Amino acid sequence: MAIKEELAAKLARQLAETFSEEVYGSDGPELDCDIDEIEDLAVLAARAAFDAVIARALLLQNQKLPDKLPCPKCQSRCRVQFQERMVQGRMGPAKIQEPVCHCSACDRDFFPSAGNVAAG
Amino acid sequence: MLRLDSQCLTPRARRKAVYAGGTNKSHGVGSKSLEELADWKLKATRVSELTLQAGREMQQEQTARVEAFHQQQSQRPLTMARASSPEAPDNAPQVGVVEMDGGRIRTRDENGPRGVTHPHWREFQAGCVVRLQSQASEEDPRREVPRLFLNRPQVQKMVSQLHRQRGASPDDETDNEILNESIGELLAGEKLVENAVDSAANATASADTQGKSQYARTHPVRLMRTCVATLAGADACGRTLAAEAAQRGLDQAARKAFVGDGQACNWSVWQRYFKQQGYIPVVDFIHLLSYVYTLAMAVGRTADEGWQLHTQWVTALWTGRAAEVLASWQALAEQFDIPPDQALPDHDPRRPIQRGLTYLTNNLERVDYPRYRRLGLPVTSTLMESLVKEFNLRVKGTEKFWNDPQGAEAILTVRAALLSEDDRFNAFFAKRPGCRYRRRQTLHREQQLQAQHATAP
Repeated sequence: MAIKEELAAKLARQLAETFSEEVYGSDGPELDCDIDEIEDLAVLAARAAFDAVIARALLLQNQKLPDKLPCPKCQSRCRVQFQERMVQGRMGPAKIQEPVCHCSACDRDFFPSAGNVAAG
Repeated sequence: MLRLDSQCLTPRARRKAVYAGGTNKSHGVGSKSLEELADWKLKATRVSELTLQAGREMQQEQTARVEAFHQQQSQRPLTMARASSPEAPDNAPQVGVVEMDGGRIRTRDENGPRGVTHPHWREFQAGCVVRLQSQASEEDPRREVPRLFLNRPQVQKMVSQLHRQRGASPDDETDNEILNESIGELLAGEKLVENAVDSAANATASADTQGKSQYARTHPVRLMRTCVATLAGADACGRTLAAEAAQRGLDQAARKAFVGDGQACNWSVWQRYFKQQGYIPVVDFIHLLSYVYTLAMAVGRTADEGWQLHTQWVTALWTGRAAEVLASWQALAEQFDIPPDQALPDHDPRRPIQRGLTYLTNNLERVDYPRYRRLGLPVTSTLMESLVKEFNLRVKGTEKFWNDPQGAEAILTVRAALLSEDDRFNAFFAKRPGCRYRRRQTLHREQQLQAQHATAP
């Protein structure tokens, strides 16, 4: 995990530097550019990155799912589909692809990635 | 594993919202804090909904754990000591202390119409399980009475506050708030006794030509605290505390105590859940002192004479001569013709003598303070007093009414989790499963988030 974190920090830094140069140009911001403005932009970039990292990671993770999964109620195997969903994360909303199955026997959708059953 | 449910929140985001709801003075302030600190606009009603939902889930989890623990205990022979919990840490603490006390919370009827229906006060029981570090010694490390207990204005202030607490009418919000503030100030942590003893030690030191204090800093040091609170009564609180103590490894501690004020319910809990495990019962010295002061002032012909008696009796109790004090109080009871089996009315001038005598008689086996100090155990319930204050910071306030019982129970549970130092709050959200099914309202929430996402700069 530490190596993954280190790599993530290094990559993000490289991307952020490129982003900064793209936005402000290779000369950087003008002298009258306020720190608040720069900070707002950095936060905006971080939020966009937050959304993008989660969306992409989950998209790739979804590819590892089998084609069919058992219904939690009747255990009949149901085809896995994906639907777009907005969730609120620590740094803002993120658009994800959530796996969803429809059990025709129970006539009900279920969400296999939810984990164990809990009050919803 | 996404662990999502109908709320459209990642587990970490949910934790943030519940933290804001359980830590700030109100859900509204929590909502503002989230906006200011996390750039997250979440309505106060949503903060409330998420906080109370988490409280209910935490409580269900706790109930299941406590019941499983007692179920397991009930299968053991009665004479056997409680089995150590599999969750107990390997290192048993040097000193384990369980403390219990009550607080009050303002509630309203749960199923009433919008607004506050039938506002009323409810008593809640709170308790803490504390791992301490201290040294046991052959000699009493604090023979001299802390100066604070012999400081007349300070004692007067302390006693009047404790009396207000006992006699306060349930609607006397101001009195209760003042009392909580003052008790907190006076009894915060073990600092009260510690500071008083240190001052006494310093005074002695300055008089001492060697310039060295005879008092080492031997007061117990708090290592870790976990806590519980419930509206379900003293026995339910004690039952949970017993499971908690076993889980924290306190039953295996070399020295352990159960500290409380003189209330009978505390000692029923001790008798039922802690006596067999070897927890030494300790009556809070400050509560006892309040009875001594009131009795002394009632008996003394002048205030000075009353104060002299107070000094004499407090010194005797601090130094372990409780039987001597009891004998003199019994003599006073005879002298004033106090009936042994009939409670005098409150306005009777002999009432303080009767109350003091009853209190000391009932608690005589729990006031051996030199022994507790030698064992490195606390002699006051300051840990608990300050904990109740920490609960009150969130649950009490003018115009603050919780649904009775579910809302109140939920916020107490969330607060207890936040005040526990074993990371149980974070652990709860790390383990909390999602839901495989969705409710209809999810769609509406998703649409709101979608709009937010679209309008983001």
